[in-house]
Amino acid sequence: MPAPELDLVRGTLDLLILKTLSWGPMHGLAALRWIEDTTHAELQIEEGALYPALHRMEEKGWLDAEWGYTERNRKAKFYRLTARGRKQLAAELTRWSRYTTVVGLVIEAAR
Amino acid sequence: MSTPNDRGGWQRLRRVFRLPATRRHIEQDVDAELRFHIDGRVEELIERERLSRADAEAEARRRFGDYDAYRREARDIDQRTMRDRDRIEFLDTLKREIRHSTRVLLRTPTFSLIAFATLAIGIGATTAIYTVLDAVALRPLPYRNADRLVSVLHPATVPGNGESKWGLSSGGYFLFRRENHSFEDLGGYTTASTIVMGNQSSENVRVAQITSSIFTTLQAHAALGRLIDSADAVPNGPMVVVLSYEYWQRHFGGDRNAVGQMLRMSDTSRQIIGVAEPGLSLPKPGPFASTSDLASFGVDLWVPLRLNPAGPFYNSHQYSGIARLKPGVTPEMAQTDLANLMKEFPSKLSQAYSESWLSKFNFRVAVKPLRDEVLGPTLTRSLWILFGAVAVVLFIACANVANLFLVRMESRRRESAIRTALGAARAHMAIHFLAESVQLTLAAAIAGLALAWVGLRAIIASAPTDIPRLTAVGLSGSSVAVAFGLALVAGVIFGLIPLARTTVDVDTLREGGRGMTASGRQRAARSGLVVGQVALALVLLASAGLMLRSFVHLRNVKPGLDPNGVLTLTVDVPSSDFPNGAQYTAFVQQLQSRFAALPGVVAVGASAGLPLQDYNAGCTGVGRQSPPFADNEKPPCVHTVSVTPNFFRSLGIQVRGASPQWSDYDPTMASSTVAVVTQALATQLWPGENVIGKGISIGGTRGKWQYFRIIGVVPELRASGLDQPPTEAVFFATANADVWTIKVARGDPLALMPQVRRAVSELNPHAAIIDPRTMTEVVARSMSRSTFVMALLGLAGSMALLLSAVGIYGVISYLVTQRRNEIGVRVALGARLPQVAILVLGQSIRLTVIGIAIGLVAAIAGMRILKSLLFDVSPTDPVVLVTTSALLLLIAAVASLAPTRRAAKIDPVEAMRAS
Repeated sequence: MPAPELDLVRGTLDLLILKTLSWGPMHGLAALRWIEDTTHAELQIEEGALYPALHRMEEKGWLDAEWGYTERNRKAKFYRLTARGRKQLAAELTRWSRYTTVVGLVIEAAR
Repeated sequence: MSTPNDRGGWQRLRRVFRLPATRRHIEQDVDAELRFHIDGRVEELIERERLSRADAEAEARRRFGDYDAYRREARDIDQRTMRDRDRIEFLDTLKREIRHSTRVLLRTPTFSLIAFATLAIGIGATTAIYTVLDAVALRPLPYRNADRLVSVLHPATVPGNGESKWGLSSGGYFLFRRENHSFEDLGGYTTASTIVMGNQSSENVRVAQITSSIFTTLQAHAALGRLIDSADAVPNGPMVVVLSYEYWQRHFGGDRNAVGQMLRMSDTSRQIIGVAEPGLSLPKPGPFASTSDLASFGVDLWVPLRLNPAGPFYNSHQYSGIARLKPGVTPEMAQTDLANLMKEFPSKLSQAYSESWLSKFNFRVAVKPLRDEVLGPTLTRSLWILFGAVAVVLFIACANVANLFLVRMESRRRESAIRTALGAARAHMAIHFLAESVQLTLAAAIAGLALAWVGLRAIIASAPTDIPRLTAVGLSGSSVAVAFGLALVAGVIFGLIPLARTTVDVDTLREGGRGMTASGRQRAARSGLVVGQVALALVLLASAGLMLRSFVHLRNVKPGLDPNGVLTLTVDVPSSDFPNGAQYTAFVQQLQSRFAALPGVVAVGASAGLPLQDYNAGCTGVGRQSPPFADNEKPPCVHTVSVTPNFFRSLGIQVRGASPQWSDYDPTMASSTVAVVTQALATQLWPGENVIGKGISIGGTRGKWQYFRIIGVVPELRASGLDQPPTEAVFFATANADVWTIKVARGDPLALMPQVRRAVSELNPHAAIIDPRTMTEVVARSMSRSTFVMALLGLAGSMALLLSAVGIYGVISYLVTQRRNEIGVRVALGARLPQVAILVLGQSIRLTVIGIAIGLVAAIAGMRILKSLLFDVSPTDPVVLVTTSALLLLIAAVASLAPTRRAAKIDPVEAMRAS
């Protein structure tokens, strides 16, 4: 029996994508696989949701997109973190760690 | 660095490769991306989990979620991105092009300056006249819902004196107000001037005497206290006064305690009950007031008319009527309504009106939109004509600038061709050229507004005083809108001129020279512009010429008086200082001897009104002692003027026979016994007879009248206006006169004013001196409207002439350059200088003659609209038309001199080598 699925906390998807792309340009599917591999498929993302997120971040100027070829020589759209995207990632990371700290404090607090 | 640079990179890429950033392209992109994802997953599932292709496909789809929704979402985002980027790219381009075109404009300063100045003048003149037109004629009157306000007046055909427009009588006012079906309300007013006595000095103020319904009709509000209401405007009602807001500010400094105080006026004291809202005034003075200062007409004080609805009613029409139409009622319907009520005048107002009187005077009622009545028939037309004139000037200016742009386009054809060849989109080219032209025209609009501001000051300072609302004219939002609107339209048109040709321009590169067909087309366009300019200039010049001729005729009219060296002024004294007429007569006599004793004074007279200023107001019927009027003969209605003995001498008016002497004056002012008439009246009453010694009466023909003995005749006098027929008037020897005419031997009569003031205040400290001016100015003012229109038309005509000359010069110069080759060949083949000159001049003359011909046709067809402004000149006066045509030809010849000289100097060898 599979473990109960972890739903994605709102707004976290952006952070995951930014973090993933910080390792280098990749296409949507590759980014998704990376997240799957690192989380051992614990995180259930509705895969389609990835794309509006990618396009929105492109609109905001966090990502640049470019058509290129995969190692299997197939045409795919690659995303790359822009300078602004890196800044955004830093900001999101700070916010995330503060968030988890605060939540952790409440959860682990003893009476 | 941040994104803008990143973005810039992408934009540059896209521009270089002209990536299609279209809606369809975006959809394909999104589809491909999502498809890649699904396909990748499917393969993975088949490989790793050994699923069948169908199962793998289903599983991939399941994991993906709602494919269509995500696809739509991504697409929408991309489209938004694209729009944003396009906008930024557009602004970038615009910025770049503006920078570029500023550089280009500055690099060709002559072109830029000429185009800029020409346009600025055109736009400035148009804006200035538009502002006047708008403020005076187009804008509604300053009342609430002013479009439903109408004037109610009585036109009548006065026997012997033509059409007049009278006010309402008190009886008529009450009857109309009570029984009409058309008005929400009807009010009546008359205006007068009086003296308000302060502690230190007295001041002459303008008083509106009104029915309380004037305020309700105008929907006026009080700023403070209350307005006059129906309880005030009754016989023996309270003595109250409402201050105008401006008077309150001026004299009470806006003190709220003014309400309740007493105001000492010449005849009485009145309690201040309120202050009217700012700017509230009457649309024009009452029926028998002088209209000489319509431009700055305003009301200082409002007092109630205390008319008695029970009568008695007299045949006296001194109240201007203003009414507010009920919704849906037109002025015509209201007029029919009142005309029906007027049929009851003889029965219901029998004291004042009889059937025979109504028919004899052709007594009617007219209901007209208030604004039309205030402006009069010719003013709006004059202003439109002037506006048309400056619009024509602007058009000619634009033709010149268009010509300049055509020249520039020629020299920049290679540049645009290269740009086009390199793939600059038509839109980019449009931005490129528009940035340049619109920048130029907008700058011209700003300068034009400054010019308009200056021009407006000049117009207001020199304008006739009988144009209502003129003093308040200033540049408004709509003037600014007009200036920039014109500039924008002109800019877009100029900017599109080169664009019309970018398609053929690629050929230019190939040919390496000029495309001959295009040049021919251009030459036609430029020649057309010049022909149009000449035609328009001719029309303008002819109008100005007609006005000038008409003015000259007017100047040559002999008014029958000598205005030189005459000082005129009104001395207003409170009637409370003179309980009876004898005292006032004594005052007039004393003042006369005081004035006569001043140094350099030759003659001093006084009268009740000044010729060429006050003779338009009202008239009185006169009777003849013998023979009695025949049944079909109508008694003349004439000006009746009280004068002192030396009145005629002071104004240099000739009198045949005798003038009255002080011994003729009845000190009680009950009456006098002698009179002087004008020859025009004498001829009307006693054709061909000597009228000295005959008896004349005023007031009508019925009943017992006192007859005055005629002792003198004024052979020639045009006192109602130089363009009017000789005046019919009776001068009576009564000292009921307050307008003084003082003739000095030499020098400026106004220099006498300090002594005049001293003399007046020594005699009566309450006296106020009004409107001191020279008689020469009074005469000039009476012609000021035609002078004004003439001056402005003349200005517009000169501008048109100058601009057309520039246009002809430009085009002929251009044509000479174009035909350099040909002329060179001709010279080489033995053509002499005269032949070359004839060649060039001939071309210029040909264009001008075509323009003149078209202009003449237009002028002859269109000049009728000027007719009402002209005096004694036919709108198609051949002298004017021939003179202006000749002038234009001459100017055209002069303008082509320089290019002709240049053509003559062409060295055939060089010209041919250059090609």
